[in-house]
Amino acid sequence: MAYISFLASVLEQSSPIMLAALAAMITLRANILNVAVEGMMLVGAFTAIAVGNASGSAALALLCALVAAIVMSQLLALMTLRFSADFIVAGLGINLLAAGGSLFALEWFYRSPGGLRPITFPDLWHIPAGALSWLPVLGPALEGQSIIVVLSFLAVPACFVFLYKTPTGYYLRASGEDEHAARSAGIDVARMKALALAISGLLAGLAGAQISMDKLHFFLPEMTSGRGFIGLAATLFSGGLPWTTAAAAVLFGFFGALGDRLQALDIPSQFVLMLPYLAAILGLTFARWRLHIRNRPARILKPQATSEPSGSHRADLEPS
Amino acid sequence: MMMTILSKSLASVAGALLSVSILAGAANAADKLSAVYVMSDNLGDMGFNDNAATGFARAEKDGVRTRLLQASPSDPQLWRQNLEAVSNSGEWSIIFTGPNMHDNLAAVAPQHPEQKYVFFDDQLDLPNVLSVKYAQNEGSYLAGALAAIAATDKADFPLSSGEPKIAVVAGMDLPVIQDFIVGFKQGAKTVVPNIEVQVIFIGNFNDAQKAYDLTKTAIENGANVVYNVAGPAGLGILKGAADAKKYAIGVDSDQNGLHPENVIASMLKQIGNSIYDSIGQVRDGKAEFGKLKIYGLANDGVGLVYNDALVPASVKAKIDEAKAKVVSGELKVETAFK
Repeated sequence: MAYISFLASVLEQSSPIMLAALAAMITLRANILNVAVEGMMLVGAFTAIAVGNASGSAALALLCALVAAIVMSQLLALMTLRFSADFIVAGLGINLLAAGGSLFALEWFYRSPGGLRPITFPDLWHIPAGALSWLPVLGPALEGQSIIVVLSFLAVPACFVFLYKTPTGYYLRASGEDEHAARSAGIDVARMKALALAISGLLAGLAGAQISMDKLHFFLPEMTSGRGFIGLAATLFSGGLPWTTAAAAVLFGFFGALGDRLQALDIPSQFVLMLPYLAAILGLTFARWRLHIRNRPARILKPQATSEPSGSHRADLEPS
Repeated sequence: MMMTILSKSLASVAGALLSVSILAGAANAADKLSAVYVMSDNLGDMGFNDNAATGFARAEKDGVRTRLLQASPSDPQLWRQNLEAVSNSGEWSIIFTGPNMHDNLAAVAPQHPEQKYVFFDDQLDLPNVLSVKYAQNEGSYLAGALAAIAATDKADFPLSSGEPKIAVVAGMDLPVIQDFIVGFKQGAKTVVPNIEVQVIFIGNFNDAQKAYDLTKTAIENGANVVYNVAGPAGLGILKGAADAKKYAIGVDSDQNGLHPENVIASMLKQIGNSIYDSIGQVRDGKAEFGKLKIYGLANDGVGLVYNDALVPASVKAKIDEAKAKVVSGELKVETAFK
């Protein structure tokens, strides 16, 4: 039983990171380093609670969260593609706008800068208990997960198919690989980049809605707590490949869930809280090391190329 | 960018309010007591700051002129500006200030030796500063005792398994948080010596989802009662306990109503009471500036508020017994500050 709850926890914790990672991946393939995922997630999280509170409909809340995050992404597209702002600077601006704007809305509309906590809130659709009992191991772990967790795992093959099997995906990647070549081939590069940002906004909005709507049913300032940046890191160290990115996100989810369980043991909390990030650094080092090995010119690998210590060097060492 | 514009406009509004109040207050400042609170945060947190505001509201009803200067938590310069402005004005009988203001007060207070300051939830040894601190360890001692009873007394607390297992989910490993934990553990062990207390840290005070996950894990490991020591993220702890159909104990403000079937009590730091008290002492000339005053169980500075629907009178009587021992000095609650 313990492993099922552990697996369920891994899936649940991976979900927002996976969506954030895919959001960053899509833009990375269009040659945009999207640091605004965090801000778009926060806007999604806030909109989900605000709309769910006002309308009482979970579906409408989710839809509005996605729309709001896409609007933020198009604001970023407007600033960078139309007005030629730097992607990093504008992206950080989006993050500040999301953090300050949500706080401002809390104060302005709800007179409560501390957070928004509706008394009752509509529940998202969750996989009913027993529905997947025919599936060993994974079935029970999936039962009780929200629709967004399911969507986050379906988003991986969807992104793969989009990027590698559709013409639009080819155009998008071409725009990222070589802007001038793509333009001379008749691809509207700015439109492709705006599309990448819109998809990124959609995925980030889902991630934000998962955090505020799935279990918590309230919004707090800064509640996304850096998951957008963790997703960005997952994308960067898997080089923007869909399956590797998903694996990296699950790795973060795995170490997050493992850390939660290790806290019950007598291990210093600081060490346990460090685990996911330690895993990230090790993963990044490993990925880079493999890339390095693979790309090393063949001659370096030959044994005679390694230089032996010279005689004069030894002479220097001997007196001491 | 928006934040700076916002805080700048806040600063100018605060400045304008200040000058207006100086003009208006000049006539009766000499005879009427006045108190201003220089804040490092906004109101509306349903916790620390709102609690403090209740003290000023009570004092105002008694005819004290009060003003609360809110400021953005991300604009430390504004906190300093506000503190200097009210100190320079000389219009206020007492200037209150609280968390995050240690260095600012240490710089400003010596320049105004005639001005009286009250510094709460922290300590500064200056002749014109009265420091006020709260014995959260004593309040947590009672919370621990209640948690231990709730975990083991299956008849009165039907959601418990009866196993002696409880947990505390805390924000960060800081001295003031450790003070909560030390008291909580001691209280639980006094009632049920073999109790198992899981101590779990979130790593920050905002990540409510992490708090929720950790609470769920603690409950899967057998915890029957979870104590929230995590500020805003603590709402995730309470939700986690409610979803898992176990008990929780709230903190800072009365959180019993948030999940009425699961939150059995809340541990309050009565910041408002202490502020009201301090104003009264200054009026009577009894305030001991230059000293540290601790608000604990003995003077109702900390305490438990029960969820009456869940906690029966017999259990309350047991907790009151434990409280009486602490108040009489028969039992000393350990502290993380040594």
